[in-house]
Amino acid sequence: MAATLPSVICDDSIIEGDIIVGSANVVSPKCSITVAKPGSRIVIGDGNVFEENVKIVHSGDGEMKIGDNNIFQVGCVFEGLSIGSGSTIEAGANVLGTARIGSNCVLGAKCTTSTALPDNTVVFGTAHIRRVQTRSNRLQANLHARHLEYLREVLPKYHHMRSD
Amino acid sequence: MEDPPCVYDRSEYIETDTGNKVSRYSVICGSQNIVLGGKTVIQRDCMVRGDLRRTGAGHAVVVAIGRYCFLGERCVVRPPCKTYKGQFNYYPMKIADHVFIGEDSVIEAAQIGSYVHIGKNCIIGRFAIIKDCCRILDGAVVPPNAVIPSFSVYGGNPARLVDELPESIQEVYEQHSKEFFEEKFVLA
Repeated sequence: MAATLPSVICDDSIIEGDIIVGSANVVSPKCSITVAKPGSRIVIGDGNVFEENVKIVHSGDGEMKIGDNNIFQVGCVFEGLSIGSGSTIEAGANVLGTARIGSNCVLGAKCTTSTALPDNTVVFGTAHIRRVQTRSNRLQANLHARHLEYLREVLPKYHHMRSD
Repeated sequence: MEDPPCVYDRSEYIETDTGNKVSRYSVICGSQNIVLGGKTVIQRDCMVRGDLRRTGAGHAVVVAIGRYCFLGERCVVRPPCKTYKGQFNYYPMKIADHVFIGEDSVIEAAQIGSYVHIGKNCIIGRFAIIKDCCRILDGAVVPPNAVIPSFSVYGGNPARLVDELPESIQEVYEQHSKEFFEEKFVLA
């Protein structure tokens, strides 16, 4: 992703507080990113996708760091301290206040974590089983890049965009 | 199955010529790409993403929903996406007739057959295919690309076969959805 592309943020989303947004991010309608405490901030990297009904809440002190090329799927809640790059938080998953997510992690649908996930961890199933993925995420990265490209092209045609 | 009638504020719902009732508080994106078959109810805070369409010129139906369907509060219906032959695209989603989708469910299926009952808080993964006469229990997570055969009951995370439905289920669901639409869903 070229660093100069602006982020695509739908007008129907809620973005409140001190938030630094990098380039080429996509924020879908009905998504909310909020900083609860004055003085704290969220720093978002490049090329992240935030889908519908996603809630990113930073209620603690200091900085919440979101890396690059992460995808937050429909209705997930992220309250953790940080997330690396290339991770996927699937639909309905929940990251609680004390968690740090590494890079290339997959937090499966409806899974919850309150502890740190090291790089390449996959969490899945009712029992939130953890496993380390051994395959490279080249395919996923490729898909993500194309997905971003698509969303950046299509969303402005159907939604009002926020002009920063 | 005996539910009391639910009364809703008439001013909240938009009624179309074919008898669809769509809440004004739902979010329908790209409505020109959505087909509702008639007598379908979409409740408040639902999201139907018709904007995520296949690239290319011309008119495309992204979400096709049949007759007597019900989308519960806060559910999200969005078409599935994948790269095929090096091209990223969203693909159309078909929902047939008499389909009930419970509250807070997220649907990314490719196809849902007729007489299907999907519970609350379900997640139907990308490109899942649900055949006719199925039941998905509350809170089930159907993995991407899963195919759910007819007359089966699926539940759990990831969803597994837990039971089978009798052959009469078609009539039961049909009657239930019609009764709901005609008698239980009251606009006052």
